[in-house]
Amino acid sequence: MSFETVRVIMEKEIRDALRNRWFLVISALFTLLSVALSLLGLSGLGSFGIAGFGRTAASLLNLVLLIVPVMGLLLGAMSIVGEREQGTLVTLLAQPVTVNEVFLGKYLGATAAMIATVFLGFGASALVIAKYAGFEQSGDYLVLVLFTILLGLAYLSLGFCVSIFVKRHATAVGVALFIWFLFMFLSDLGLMGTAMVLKLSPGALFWLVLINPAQAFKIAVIGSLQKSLEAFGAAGLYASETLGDWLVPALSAVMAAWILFPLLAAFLFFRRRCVE
Amino acid sequence: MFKAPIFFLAMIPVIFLQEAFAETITVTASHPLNIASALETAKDGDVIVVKPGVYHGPLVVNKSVKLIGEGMPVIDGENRGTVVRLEAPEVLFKGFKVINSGDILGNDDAGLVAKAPRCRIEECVFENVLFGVYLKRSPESTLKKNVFKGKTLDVARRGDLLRIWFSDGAVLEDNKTTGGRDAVLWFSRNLRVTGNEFTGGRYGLHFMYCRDAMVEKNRLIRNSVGAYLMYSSGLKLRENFISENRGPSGFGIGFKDMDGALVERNVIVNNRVGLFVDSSTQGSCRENLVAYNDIGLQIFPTARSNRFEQNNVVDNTEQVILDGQSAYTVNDWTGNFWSDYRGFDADRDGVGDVPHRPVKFFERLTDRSHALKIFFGSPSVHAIDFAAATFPVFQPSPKFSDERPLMDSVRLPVRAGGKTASWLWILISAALLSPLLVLFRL
Repeated sequence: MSFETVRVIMEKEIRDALRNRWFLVISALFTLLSVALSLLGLSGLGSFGIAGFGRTAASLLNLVLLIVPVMGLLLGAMSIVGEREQGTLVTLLAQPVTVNEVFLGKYLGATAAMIATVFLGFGASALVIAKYAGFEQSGDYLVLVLFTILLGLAYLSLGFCVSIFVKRHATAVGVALFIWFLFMFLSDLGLMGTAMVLKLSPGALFWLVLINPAQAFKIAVIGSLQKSLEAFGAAGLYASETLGDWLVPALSAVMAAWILFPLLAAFLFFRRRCVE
Repeated sequence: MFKAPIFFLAMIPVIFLQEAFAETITVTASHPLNIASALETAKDGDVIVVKPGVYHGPLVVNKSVKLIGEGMPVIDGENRGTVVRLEAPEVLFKGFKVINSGDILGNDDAGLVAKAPRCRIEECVFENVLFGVYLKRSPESTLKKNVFKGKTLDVARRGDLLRIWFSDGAVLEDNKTTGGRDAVLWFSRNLRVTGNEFTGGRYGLHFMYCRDAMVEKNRLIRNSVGAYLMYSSGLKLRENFISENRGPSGFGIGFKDMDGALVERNVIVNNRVGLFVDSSTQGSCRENLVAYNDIGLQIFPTARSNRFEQNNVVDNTEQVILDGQSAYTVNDWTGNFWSDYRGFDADRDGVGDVPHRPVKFFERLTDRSHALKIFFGSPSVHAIDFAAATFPVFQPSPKFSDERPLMDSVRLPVRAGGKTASWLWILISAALLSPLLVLFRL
């Protein structure tokens, strides 16, 4: 495998992402909203004379939960299917490059584009926070950035899956948006209903909730920011009692699994029938 | 008419005489005369100046002397029993570092125990002690500017860094405790507790049977419970800063059987429960800031005839929990600022035209099935609450109502917040933004 080839394909993928209007709009939205939320949250605090960033972290968390998954999904979903539909993928594969190089280059390119957006949003917010917040929470902030990237990568992998299993560009976008809707709303509402009807134990509910990478992200961030899962009621207490110090590593592992397995599935399928 | 001035004139020589008779005895660490033998030769009213060095405890002060440490002399209890005992009235104990008490809870091993009235303990440091200062039937004593640091033990095995017991009129001013169990104030009237900082303990203030106390301008931070105030009347709790008290069943301030309390201008932020009230009556809670707690106010139905007004209840995860349906009808909630108020003010009088009746569908669900709290903070939960507020089909009954909600927050005296270190945030910002420059080169 030639790294030079991978690099070239990766750069092309980044350039494609920068030309992708969906991606640009969502990135701009993410940056604007994160700056606005930091400004609102912290200036509100300022009027009471209490500097702190916990509340801003909470609203940034909400924003990340909504926007970063859809960003990852769309970026992934459009990466391969579009080129295949236009026929450029065939041309690309006709060059002296391997399938592995193409896949890796595209994945790394999309990853870079996504991380860049996350950095842009959080970097701009940090400037706002610099005006108000204290010193102690900067570690928390970096934790939030790190987990946000993990969350984005998990959905990026799912997006790649969509891109490889679906034949048409428009369908891929539709499926990606549906998956987002599914993970954001439907699965939660379904689980809530199930838990109430079946009277699930807090433990069982906790493990079921983890199926959703967004929930794993949310619990991991609150767990490492607040050092307690009290806010999540009985299921949260169950988690901190059974997992203890292993809570954050375990949740990171769940997210890593969400990054690796869909990506692996996408890769294997791409090798089998890359241009069909 | 002339009696009073004549009396005072007559007093002057007496005061001078006392001054003239009061001797100053100096003790140094190298000198064979240690503090105990200095005490033997001393009379009431004498001053014993102790030079820097390490002195061995235990020390029993049984004369009304002034013990003044110069340059922080150390009194070492060598991890056995109580280090210093004040057994005569009006002792001044100032400028010492008292270390290494025993660690047996049953013996109340302490840095200092005072058993006589009107003692003054000032500017001392207590380190590695089980109990810090124990005022045991020591009324009108004063503790001022002392610093306490407990033993590094499990919370259950620690002692109380401050314990005031049957000591009416005791004054606690500008003391700092970290890592103890509680600051216990029991069975003492007319206490004055001002400007203290209690951090990292179990109960910041553990307060029982203390009538007419004044607790003002203290900082209660990172304890399991900030202040648990019980079985007392006439308390004035003012301008305290209560934050990050997040024990498993922790409160910022807990009230139990407190009648006629005045709770004014406190800042209660980022606790598990901001203000918890159980079976207390006739209280007045005004101009407080209750913000960013998991639960802002939790009121039991046994709390009656209390008045909540002019408070800022801002962005608590759950603003108010009223256990039992009747709770809101028996207390007066009129005229507070609620950050979740969604009404309007057409006549511009600063008061919302629509009553504040908070409706949270998800909170109703979690009341029925507690485990569902795991979904807290998810977009789905916001969707549910939005749907319930928009389509009244789902609308559950409100938990309570404020008929005259304020449109703007009540101004509070601004306090200094955390340290600002903006350079670090600018650094973070630069670190995150600089990789983007690479993209522009592409």
